[in-house]
Amino acid sequence: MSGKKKKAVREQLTATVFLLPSLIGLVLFSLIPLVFSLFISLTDWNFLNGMGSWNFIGLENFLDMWTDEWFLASLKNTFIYTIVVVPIGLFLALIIAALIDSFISDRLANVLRVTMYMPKICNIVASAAIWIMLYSTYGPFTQLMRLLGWENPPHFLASYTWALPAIMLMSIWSGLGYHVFIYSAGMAGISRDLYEAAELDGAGAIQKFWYVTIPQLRPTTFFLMITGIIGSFKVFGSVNVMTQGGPGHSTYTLVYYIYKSAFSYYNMGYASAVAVILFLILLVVTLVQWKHNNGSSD
Amino acid sequence: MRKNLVRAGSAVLAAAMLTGLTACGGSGGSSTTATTKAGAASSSTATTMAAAGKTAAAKNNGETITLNLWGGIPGEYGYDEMVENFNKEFKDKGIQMEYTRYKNDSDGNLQLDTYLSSGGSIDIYMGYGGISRLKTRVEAGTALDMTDYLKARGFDPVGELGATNVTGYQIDDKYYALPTKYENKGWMVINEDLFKEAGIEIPLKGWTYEEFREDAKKLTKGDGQDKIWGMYWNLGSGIGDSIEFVGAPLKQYKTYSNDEGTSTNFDNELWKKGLQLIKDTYDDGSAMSYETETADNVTFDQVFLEGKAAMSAGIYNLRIINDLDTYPHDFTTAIVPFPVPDESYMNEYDYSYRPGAGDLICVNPKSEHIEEAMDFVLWYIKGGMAPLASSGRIPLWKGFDADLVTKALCAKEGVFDPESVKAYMAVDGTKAVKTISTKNDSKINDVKKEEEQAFLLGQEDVDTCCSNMKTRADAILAGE
Repeated sequence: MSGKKKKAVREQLTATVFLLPSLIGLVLFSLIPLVFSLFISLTDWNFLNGMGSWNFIGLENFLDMWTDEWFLASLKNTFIYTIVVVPIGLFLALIIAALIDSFISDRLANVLRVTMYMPKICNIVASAAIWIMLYSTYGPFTQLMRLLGWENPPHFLASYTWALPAIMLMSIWSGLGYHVFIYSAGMAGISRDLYEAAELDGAGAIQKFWYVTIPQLRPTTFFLMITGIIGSFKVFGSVNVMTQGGPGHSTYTLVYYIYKSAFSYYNMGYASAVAVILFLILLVVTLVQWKHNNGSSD
Repeated sequence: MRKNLVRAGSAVLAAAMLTGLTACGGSGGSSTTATTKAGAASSSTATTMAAAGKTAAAKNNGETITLNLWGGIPGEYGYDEMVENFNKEFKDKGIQMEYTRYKNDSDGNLQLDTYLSSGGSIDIYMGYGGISRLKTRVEAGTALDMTDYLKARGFDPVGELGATNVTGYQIDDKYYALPTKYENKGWMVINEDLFKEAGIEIPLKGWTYEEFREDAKKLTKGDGQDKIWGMYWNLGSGIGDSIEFVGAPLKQYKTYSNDEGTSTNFDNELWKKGLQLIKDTYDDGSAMSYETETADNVTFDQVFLEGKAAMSAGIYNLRIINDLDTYPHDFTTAIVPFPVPDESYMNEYDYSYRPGAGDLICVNPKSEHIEEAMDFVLWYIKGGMAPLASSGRIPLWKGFDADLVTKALCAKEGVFDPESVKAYMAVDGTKAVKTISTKNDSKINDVKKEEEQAFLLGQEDVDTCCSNMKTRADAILAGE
């Protein structure tokens, strides 16, 4: 009995030792900062003044933000960005993946998928720099728009109307290859029997896509949607590089504003409060999605 | 949520890298082109002035101390030579120096601030961004109160640097920073060759908005790739210093309408008039459009130094105008005052509207070598910075011989018009204008920029722009 107990203790110890590095990492870099920023969001801390130089101000930060036009603009823009980028990105990826899957030979398909995946590997900052050039007055994108009959295309990144869509387009482009890749993998996992059965029932290509492929890809779509929404809510790099929130505050997003509050106004407390809001939004989104997914798969 | 911040942080790092890649065109970036800068004149100034400016030598028990200096200018623009001179001169006293360049943008300043607030090993640093950034640093305790140290060394900043230049940087009558470089944002640069070609007199004595607009139209010519604009406002990287002249005639009430800084002055007629002037030049095509500037990320060197504009804002570009190796061009640049609203303001040119100085030298209060650092500060101001003159930084100390500085700056023939440099340097520096500043400066500045942008992009008229600026800024002030 005691030998057994000893063994169990030893096993537990071994497991703990192996887990320790990642546990320490988790505590140091996720848990403590998480709790700390919750605390900071209730203060007026300027981090340049050092640890301890904070005043507890209760919920003031959380109340102030609803009259702060920068915050409201960030919130609105982030929602618009997510609502546009995620569905369009997924829809395009699904179509492209299906086309590649049905019409293109395996070898070429792989080349295509890898090529499309490139932007995902590419640093967002580098991509953004290239897109700035594409969007410039004599840039290829602007020229293309002219060729397509747009007589007087705007300066996309300097336009109140077009700056946000311009950033969205770049985001859709940069995420596309990854989405196609995952969808392709999902499609490879669909049993051929289902297609054969559908064919026997007289289903055409579009019907097979609609009644077999799409339903079978539901878990994939769900996964991409969650990660996509979370990713979209955290958009920062492209905004910081391409427009810095401008013109005006037409491209302010939540994370950009968190960054601005923290590192331009040195107001860590307020920045943390906005971060808490972002956290809550993502929490709600994830919960709703989980619930919906579990509910409908029953 | 912390994760988000951390991720944001890494994105920032990445962004910083990009800024290095794309946005450095204007500042010379980390160009590896080594350039020989100092003419004979400036080197000799360095030694004689430095000898005069020496104070009590440091005592350090035979050990060598290394002072760390951080600045926003690449070393090859005179800093390397200055440090070399210092190291030679102070070798016997056991003091050496190392220079580190940080990028003077928001990420670079954040890096500097983080280093300073976490202790760090920076002893002395050059600060930019005027009184508002200095104030942040003073509040964070990262700038040493030098008042007593200066007194102990018998250095009177008002007398030695000019009241106009230092008063604006005093906080509670104390010196946390000393300006070292003469840089008067009431002045701009013009392409003298294009002016002569068009038969326009060089406005060394000043001009009015109306005259400026007429000249801008006359100077505009060509089409497509050959287009030459009369004016390049240089607002692409942000509406900031380039339009200082608009509010300048309001002197200390440029931003705030009272000494307490409880309300802003943006609804003043002078703001409207100045902003309208800028918009008019955009609208009549005599200035490169604001959309092009912002959307295409154009920089000073790509426009002015390529001869594509006859006039430009951005007096801080003297350094790169003088750098013919990196930015070759074959026209002469003259420095002229910005236009004024009308004739009645013409006589205002006998003094500068705002602290006509920059490059704020500061000492880190956490430095272990404060005495030595202070010795360096005075050595630098009183002659040590001479090698920087030839690369476009005009020393502020009155002990510098203006003729020698002019000579050093104009060492390369035909780059600057010496007459205009003399006029620029002859501005009376004894009349002080104290800048009013609050802890909301940077937010108010952002509000101002947003509204100005909306106006320049045609989203609102000038009245709406100015009243929005005031309403929004005042609301921020009232919220505190």
